[in-house]
Amino acid sequence: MTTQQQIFEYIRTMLNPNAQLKFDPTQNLMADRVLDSLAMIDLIVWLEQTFQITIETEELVPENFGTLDAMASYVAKACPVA
Amino acid sequence: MLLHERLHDIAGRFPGKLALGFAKERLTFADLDRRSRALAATLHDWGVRPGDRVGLLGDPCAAVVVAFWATLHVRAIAVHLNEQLAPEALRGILEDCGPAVVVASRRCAASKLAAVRPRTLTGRILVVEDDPELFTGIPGKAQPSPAPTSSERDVATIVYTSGSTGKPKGVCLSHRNWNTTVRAVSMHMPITADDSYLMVVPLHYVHGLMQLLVHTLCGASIHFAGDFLFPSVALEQLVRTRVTGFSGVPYHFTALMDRSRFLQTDLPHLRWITITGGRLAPERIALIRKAKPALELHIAYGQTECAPRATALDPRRVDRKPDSVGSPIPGVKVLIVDEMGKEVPQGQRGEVIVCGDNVMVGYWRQKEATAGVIDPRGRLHTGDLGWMDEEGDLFLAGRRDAMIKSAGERIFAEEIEAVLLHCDGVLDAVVVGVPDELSGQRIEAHVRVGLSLPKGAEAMERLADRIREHCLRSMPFARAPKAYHIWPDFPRKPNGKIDRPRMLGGPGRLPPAAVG
Repeated sequence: MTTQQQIFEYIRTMLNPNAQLKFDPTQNLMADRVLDSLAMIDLIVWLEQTFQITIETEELVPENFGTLDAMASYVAKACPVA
Repeated sequence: MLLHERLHDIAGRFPGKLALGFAKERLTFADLDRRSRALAATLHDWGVRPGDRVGLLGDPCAAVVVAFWATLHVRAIAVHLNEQLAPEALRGILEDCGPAVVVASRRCAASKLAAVRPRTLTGRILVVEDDPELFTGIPGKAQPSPAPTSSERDVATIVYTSGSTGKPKGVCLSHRNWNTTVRAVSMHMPITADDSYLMVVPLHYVHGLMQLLVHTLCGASIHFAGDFLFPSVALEQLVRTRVTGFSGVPYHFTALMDRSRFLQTDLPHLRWITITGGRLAPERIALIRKAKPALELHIAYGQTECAPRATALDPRRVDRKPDSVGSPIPGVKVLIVDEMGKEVPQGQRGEVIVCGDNVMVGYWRQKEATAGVIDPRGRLHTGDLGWMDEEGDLFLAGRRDAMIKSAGERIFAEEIEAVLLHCDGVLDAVVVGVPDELSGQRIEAHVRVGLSLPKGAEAMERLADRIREHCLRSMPFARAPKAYHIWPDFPRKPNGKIDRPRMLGGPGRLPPAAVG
């Protein structure tokens, strides 16, 4: 399973099953309101725990977390083994 | 004076001043007044009459706020809808209030209203992007609609406080209710035309609606930050917009402190912040005070049913009593009463009662529920327990019922329990709030599954996931349990009743046999 798929599954099952998401790594999840602010913080904590990374406050920006692709490449940079 | 008449008045005094700032659009007070009166004329042409409901669904944008004021102009009732609700819950609310028109963004119309329309929504849907000229004021349409007899007692807004899980409950707030709040808040803060505010809360949340009314009717500017997904983006907006005021629920401040450089960033323009909708840990309040000693820190309390503010703590007392929610705001009286409804001596615990013109008209078409919280003397029984100190400052001390306050939302355990009972295999459910730094109270579910308890940690986790998914299909993430404890049977007392302390794993008790 790719990092994108892993994150996608977490969002789909654990955060918002109602969104009827289709796997699209380039979809802007934020503009489409897939996550509310509490779910976003949950996702951040999950990413940190799952990939053993620390997300610095300056890096917690839409450019790094707006899409599945962006999140996957952020994770890859922060955690070379992912 | 009615709210929209006050807007017209303010627009006459500050025509060129910024009223609303969005990422892509800025409206002066004159723009806002002209556009909302033009749209009001269209709503009137479409048959929207005094007392009709108009639903508003979508991200805060100029069109949604214009539609809000237009609704008031035709003496109709504005209902902001929460797009995060599950389709079933949204349907319930639309059935309950039966809007004549719903103003929605294209995204919400396609993803939210399309699913509920055939059965329940008979009114017209106005998609913002399809008719943009309606929201920008067609020339010649800027005539106010004919003024029928109306009074300050007329309902201006319905705010749904539940309905994401159980039966929808719409709080009806009149022009008088809002005028009382606007007057009191603008006096005690104080808010003037020199102020500006950054809005991070949605308008379907009563605090957002209150800030919209307070600031607009004081001639102050509002900058809309959109959502609050990235705390550092909100911080950047605080810096860039140079607002004088900012407010949120404890969660917003926790996220700003933990996930942005809020404490380290110099915010010379920011005069005040208000924490509402729950308790921020005193250690965090101390950290904010230490980092920003010149910043006025207000702690406020109330509920939707009192439009929504009852008390506020004088910022000069915050260091001395960070646990207090302060004294009644001007024009509002707060009493502490015993179970017989009799006032208790100062310092003694009882139920918090609110009296004043801010107390709601009632729940929309629910006389019985209204009578359950408003007594014959018009006093609101909040269900919150508390006591007052010798300076008249209120301290909260829990609830009379099993209500949970999480991330600024008031959640009734029974509503979530009812959803859990509809999940295949769940025999019984108990939902509780567990103290949590981020959200105030973390919602946790204990479910009894009987002999079908699966073997092994993995199978248990799969079961918990299935129950979690069931819940998330019925309610937004914010209201859903964050942990699921699964029991073959709940621990019981000898009389057969559930042994709650033991089940919740109190000190010295058995931990729950569970996953979460």
